[in-house]
Amino acid sequence: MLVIEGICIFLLILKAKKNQLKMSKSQADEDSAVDEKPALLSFLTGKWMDIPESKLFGKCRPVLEFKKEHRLGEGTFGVVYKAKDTRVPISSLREINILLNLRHENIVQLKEVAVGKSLDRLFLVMEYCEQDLASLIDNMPSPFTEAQVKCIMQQLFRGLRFLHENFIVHRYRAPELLLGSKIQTTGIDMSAGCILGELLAHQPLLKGRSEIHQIELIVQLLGTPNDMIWPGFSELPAIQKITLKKQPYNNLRHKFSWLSDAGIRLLNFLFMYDPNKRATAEDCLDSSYFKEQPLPCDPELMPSHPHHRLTRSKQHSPTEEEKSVLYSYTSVHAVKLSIFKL
Amino acid sequence: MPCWYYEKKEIKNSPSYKDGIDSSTENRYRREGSRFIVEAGTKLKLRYDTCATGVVYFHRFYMFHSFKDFPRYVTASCCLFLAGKVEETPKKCKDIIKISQTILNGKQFAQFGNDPREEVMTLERILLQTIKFDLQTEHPYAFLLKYAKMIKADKEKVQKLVQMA
Repeated sequence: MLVIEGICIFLLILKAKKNQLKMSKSQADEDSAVDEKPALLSFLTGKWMDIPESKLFGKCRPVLEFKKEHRLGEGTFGVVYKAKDTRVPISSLREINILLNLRHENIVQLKEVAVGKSLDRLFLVMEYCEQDLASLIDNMPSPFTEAQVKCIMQQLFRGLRFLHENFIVHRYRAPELLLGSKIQTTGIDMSAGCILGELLAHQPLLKGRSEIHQIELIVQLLGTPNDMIWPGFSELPAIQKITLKKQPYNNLRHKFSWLSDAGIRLLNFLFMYDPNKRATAEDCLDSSYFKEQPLPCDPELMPSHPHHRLTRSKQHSPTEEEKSVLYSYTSVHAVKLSIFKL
Repeated sequence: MPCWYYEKKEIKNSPSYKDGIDSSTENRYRREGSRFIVEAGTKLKLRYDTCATGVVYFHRFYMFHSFKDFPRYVTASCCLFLAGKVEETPKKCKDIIKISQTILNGKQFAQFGNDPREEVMTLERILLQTIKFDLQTEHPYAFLLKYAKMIKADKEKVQKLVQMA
């Protein structure tokens, strides 16, 4: 059995600007730039003072407490690494607990939790997923056909429907959250629409660089929301502070000019501004888009692809017998990616 | 998932019993531990369900370990700590320890050693692997209240019924 160690914790390695903290001053020190220590200029004495080691991190834990393992990919906040921690944080516990209790064919199964000899080692034994969608899209030679896209989306919606039935809501990307709404519904967050859009367009939809940019892109694609189509819109916290650009048109049809009416309807349903009107997973599965030609292909008939994930990292690739492999799972991406059992 | 139902003889033949603790003492230890969890939980303003989850972990833990190996109040604190996280009503370890200190006498609190926080943290891992990460527990209290509301009887009597359950 091949296992990947540890609980995944996301370390956000932010590229700190070197000069934000004035480094020690003397010329000699600057030359030997390697072990520069941060220092502060005292207001009282006008002299430089060293920051004691114990005060350096404040209440945050020093990153050294985590053992970095390997790079997983890039997330919203920067490069995501898998790391090991000696404690069991609530987020990991939550996921272990949730995944251990969920049994659905479209959700990656956490078979059990195993432990190593020393107390800082936890192993999550998960069902083997050959691919994760994110790296697959980036690496596949030719994009998915529409029938294959439908197959993937159906699996996604089935997984989501199951989650919602079990009162688990996936919080990812939805305008009401970007705009500060405190209430969340089981209207699927827009990420499902984004995945469908990305699969159909062969390129990321709404690729925002920041929250503001993200909102701008949404408005650009879907038009500016108002109280008519989204009751309560003008009372959202963030709307008090920012003004949205006026853009009266919905550009979905324009962007997906080749898509059938049923396909556009589904996209629009998924991108509905008012979360109460937005499609639920159940609604999506009923969509006529899945009933018209080309019909979704059978999951068994999905093409197989080489294991990019494993070839890129230095791990040894699993043999046929090692079917039960751990799959590193991540808090935001877990639901999004691991649902895909291709 | 592991099975948490035991036969009478399994319960009697517990790890503590095999370790030389007689049944009545073990029962007392279990009662004291449970009472401590509920008391500490209530003082921390935790929901009853969180305390109940902690108590369940506590009983399960001592189906695998002896009361001689693991001091009961440390285990109890740890169970409450973990239950808090699982039930999404987390409490800080140091707060639990502070409350424990007010409830327990000096001799009992000595179980926690020199670094109580570290003691509880370390035990958390042992607890987790002992109960095999089976964290989800369902309690009868919500159902009980529903049923009680449906019973058409004297309010005081119903209240007594619920309290006794």
